[in-house]
Amino acid sequence: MIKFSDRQIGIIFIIPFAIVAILFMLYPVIEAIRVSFYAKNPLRPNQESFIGFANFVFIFRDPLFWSSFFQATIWTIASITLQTILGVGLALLVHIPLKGISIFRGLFIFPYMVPTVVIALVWRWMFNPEIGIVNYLLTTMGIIEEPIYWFSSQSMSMVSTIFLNVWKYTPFVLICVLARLQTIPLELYDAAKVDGASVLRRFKDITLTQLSEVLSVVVVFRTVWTFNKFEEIYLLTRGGPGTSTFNLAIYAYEQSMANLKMGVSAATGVVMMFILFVGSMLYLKLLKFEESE
Amino acid sequence: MKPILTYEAREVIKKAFCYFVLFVITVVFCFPLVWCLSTSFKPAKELFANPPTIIPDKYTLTHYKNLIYGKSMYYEADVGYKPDSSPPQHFLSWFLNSTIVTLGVTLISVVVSTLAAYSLTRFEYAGRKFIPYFALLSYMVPSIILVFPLFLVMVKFHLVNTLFSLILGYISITLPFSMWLMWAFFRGIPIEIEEAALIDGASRLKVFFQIVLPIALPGVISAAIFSFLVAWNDYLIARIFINSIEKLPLTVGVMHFFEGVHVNWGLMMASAVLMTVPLIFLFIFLQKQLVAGFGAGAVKG
Amino acid sequence: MNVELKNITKNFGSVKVVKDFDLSVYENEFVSLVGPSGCGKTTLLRMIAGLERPTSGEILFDDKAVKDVAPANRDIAMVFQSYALYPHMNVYKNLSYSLKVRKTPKKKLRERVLEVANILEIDQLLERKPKALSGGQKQRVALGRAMVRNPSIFLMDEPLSNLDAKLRVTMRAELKRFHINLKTTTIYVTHDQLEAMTMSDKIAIINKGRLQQFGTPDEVYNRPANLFVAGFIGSPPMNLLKGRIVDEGGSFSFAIDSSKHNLPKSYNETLIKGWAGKDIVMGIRPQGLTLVRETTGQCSEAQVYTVENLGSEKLVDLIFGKKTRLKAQISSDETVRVDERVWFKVDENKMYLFNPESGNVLERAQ
Repeated sequence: MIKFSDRQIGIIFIIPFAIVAILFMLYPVIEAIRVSFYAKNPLRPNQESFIGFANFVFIFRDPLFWSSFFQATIWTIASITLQTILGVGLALLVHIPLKGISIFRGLFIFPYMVPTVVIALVWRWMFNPEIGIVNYLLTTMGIIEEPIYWFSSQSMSMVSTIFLNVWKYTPFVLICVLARLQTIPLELYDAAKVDGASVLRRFKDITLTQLSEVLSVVVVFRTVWTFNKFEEIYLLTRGGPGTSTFNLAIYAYEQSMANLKMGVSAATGVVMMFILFVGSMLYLKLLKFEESE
Repeated sequence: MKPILTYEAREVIKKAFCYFVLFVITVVFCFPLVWCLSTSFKPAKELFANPPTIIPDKYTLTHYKNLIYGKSMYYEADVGYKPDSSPPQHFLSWFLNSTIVTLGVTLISVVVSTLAAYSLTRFEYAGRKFIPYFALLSYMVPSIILVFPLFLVMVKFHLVNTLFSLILGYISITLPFSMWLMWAFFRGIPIEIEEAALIDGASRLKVFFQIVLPIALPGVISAAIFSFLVAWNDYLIARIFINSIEKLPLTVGVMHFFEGVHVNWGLMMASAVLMTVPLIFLFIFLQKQLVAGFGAGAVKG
Repeated sequence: MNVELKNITKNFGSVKVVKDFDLSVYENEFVSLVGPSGCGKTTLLRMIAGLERPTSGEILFDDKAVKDVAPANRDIAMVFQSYALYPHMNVYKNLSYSLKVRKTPKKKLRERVLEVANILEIDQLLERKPKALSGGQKQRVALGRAMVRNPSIFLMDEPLSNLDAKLRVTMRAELKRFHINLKTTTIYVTHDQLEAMTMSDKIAIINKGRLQQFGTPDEVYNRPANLFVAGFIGSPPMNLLKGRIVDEGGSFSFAIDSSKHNLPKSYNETLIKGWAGKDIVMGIRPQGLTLVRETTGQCSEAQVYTVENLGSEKLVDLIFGKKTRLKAQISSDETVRVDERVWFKVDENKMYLFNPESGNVLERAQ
C-alpha cells in the first residue's frame, strides 16, 4: 500500500471535481459570454465572426425581447407572491399538532417531486378546453358558461403557467418555512399570551419576525430561479399563444433553435446572468445584514 | 357573561375546520395525479364520458400494454400507422435510457462531490474557502445559458447524441449543489472523531471510509436524491443533446406523443404514470431524509 | 389577590398529570410548589396562568372563577425558566411589550420601564438584545418584564435553575427582598427544596400529581406528613429505617435487627400498642444521630463508610446491617476513621414513625 501524505490525498480527492468544474461549469459560462460577441450558427459551429456589441444592440432594440422581459417579470411576481403566501399559510397549518398531521406533511411535498414534463402533460389534459376535467367542473358548477381557453387565449395562458408554477413550488416554500417554524421556542408564545398579545399580534411579533430571515432567503432564491425558468412555460404553451408567454429563457432558446442565432441567444444569456448577479448580491447583503444583527 | 358555545365545542369546531382546509389542499395538490392515474386506466371511449368518472367504470390495461409492448407490437403485427394509436414503440428504450443516465449521474455526482467536499473541509490549500460559494453560485446559473456552449463542448468531444453526453451535462448541474450540501454537512461533523482515530493509528483513507462516511450518510442520501431528481426530470438538455428518437430519455420522448395527428390521452397519462412511479418509490422510502436535507442545506444558505 | 384551586385534575390524553389538587394561597403570600421532575408542578402553574386548561376543577382568583378567562385578562405576570425574552427586541422593547400591547400612553410607558430598569439595575442594558446578555442579566430582564405591569399575581417557573450556583444563592435573597417590597402574591415552582425552604411563606410539596403536604417551612421540616415529604425536605435527607415496634412487658421500643431504641414519650400509648409486633418505618435526620464507641444498650452497630468534612461539621456515611446506609452529622471536633466500627444512638425526641403502607406519619399526642 502506497502511503499518501495528507496533502496528496486532499488534492486527489478534489481533482475529479476540479476537472468537471472547469470543463463543464466554468468553460461553458466563459464561452457563453464570449459567444455573445460573435455571430454564430449552431449548425455551423466552426464559422463564427466577431461582431462586438451588435447582438446586444439587437436584443435591446427587439420589442420581443422587451415583451419577454415584461412577461417574465409579471410571471415571476405573481408566482412568487402566491407561493410565499400559500407556502407560509400551509406551513402554519401543517405545524398544528393535529392527529395524523405528518401524513398531510408528506402529501404536501408531492407536487415538488413530480417531473415538470408529467405536470405539463397532466395540465394539458386537465385544462383541455373541450374535454378537460377543469372546464367540465367549472361549467357544471355554474361558475362559467363557456369553456375557458386555457392555453389559446393570451390572458388565460399566463394564468395557466402561473398556476402550474405555484402548484409545483409552493411545497418548497412550505418545507423551508416549516423547518424554521419548528425551531421557534413555544415559550415565546406563552410569554406573549401572558403579556396580553392577541393572536394576530403574536403572529406578527413572533412568528413573522422569526420567519423573516428564512423568507427573505427563500424569496430571493425563488425569484431568481423563477425569472429564468424554461420548462414550466415551454412545455405547457411553447411560449404561446404567439409569444404571449415568452420569458427570457424561451426567447434565448428560440433565437438559437428557430433563428439559428446563437450569438443573440448568448447575449440574452449574459443579460440573464447579470440579473442573476444582482439577485445574488441582494442575497449576500441580506445574509450580512442578519449576521450583524 | 358565558360564551354561547362551551370551550369543548369551540375546540371541536376549530379542529374540524383545520381538517377541512387540509382536505381541500390535499385535493388540490393530489387531484391532478389521481386524475392522471384514473385516465390511464380508462378505455378510449370512457375518456370522453359525460359526466366523467373518477374511478373508471371499466378498467383497461391497453394503454400500459401499448407502451410496454409497443416495440414488438409494431414489428409483429406489421401494422401501419393507425389514426387512433400512435406508435409508442420506443417507450421502453426511453425508460432504459432515463434509468441508465439517472443512475450514472447519481453515482458520479455523489462520489465526486463527497470526495471534493471532504477535501475542502479537512485539508489546507489555496482557494478552499472560496470554492464552495463558487459552487453554490454556479448552481444558480440557469441551464438555458449553459446548454448551448455545453452542446458545443459535446460536439468537440464527439459525444453528441450519446447517453454519456447527458450524464456529463447533468453532472454540471448536480455537482455544485451536491458539493455544497456535502460541504455543509462535513463542516458539521466534529473533527475530534477523526483525530481520535488518527491517534489510534488509522490511515487518512481508512478514517475517511470507515468513520466519516457512515456519519455523513444522511447528507450523501440527500445529495443522491437531489441528483436523481435532476437527472430524471430534465427536459432541456436532453432535447438539445440528443437527436435520434431511440436515445431520448423519458422526458423528451413522452412529449413526442403530442406530435401525432390525434392525441391519445389515455396513452399519455399511462406514460406519465410510469414516468412518476420510480419517484414515488424513492419518495416513500426516503421521505424523512428529504425534509431534513432541505432544512439543513437550503435554509442555512 | 387570593388564589384558590379546588379539586383540580389535569389529564393529557390518558396520562393523569395532576390529581384532585386543592390549594389556597392568600394575598401577598409567597408559596412554592416543590417536587421532583414530572410531578405536575409546572402544569399547575400553567393552569393558574391560563396556558393550560384543567380537565376538571375550579380556579378562583378572589373568589371569581377564571377557568374561562384568557391569560391576558387574569392580571398575572410570569417569569419563565428559559426567560422567553423576545429575541428580536432589545431590552427596552422587551420590558415595554406588555404595556405597548395594552396601549399604554408613551410617556407613562417610558416612566414605568425606566423605573423598573432602575430597581433591577439593568438601565445600562436597555439598548441590548437578549443574545448580548449574560444569564443573570437575562433573568433580571425577565423579572422586569413581569414587574412592569404591576400584576396581582407573580408566577415563576424555576427562574433560578439556569444560573450558576453562586449567582443562584445571591438571587434567592434578591427575589425574597423583591417579594417583601412589592407585596404581591407569588407562586413559585422549583425542584430545589432548599430554594423553597429559604424563600417561601408556605410550601406545597407535590409528588406524582398529588399534594403531599402544604405548610410553612417549619411545619414541613419538623412535622412532615408522610414518607415522601420527610425524605424530600432537608439536606442531607432524613434517614429512613425499617424496623418493628416491640412490646417488652408494657414498655415499647423500636427494634431493628438485634438492637433497640427508645420511643419518644409524646406518642399516645394506645396508638403504639396497636402497632406492637408490626413493621414500621423510623425516620431520623442526620442531626439526630450521635456516634459512640461503646454500646450503651439503646444503640445499633454500624461501620463507617466515608467521612465528608464540610468545615463547620462532618457527615459520616454508615453501613448498617449489610446494606442499609445512614448519614450522621457530627461536630467538626469529633473524629472517626473509615471502616471503624461505631454505635449510633437515636435522639428519641427527634424520631419520626411512619406507616410503611400508607407512608403517613404517626401523629404525636401533642
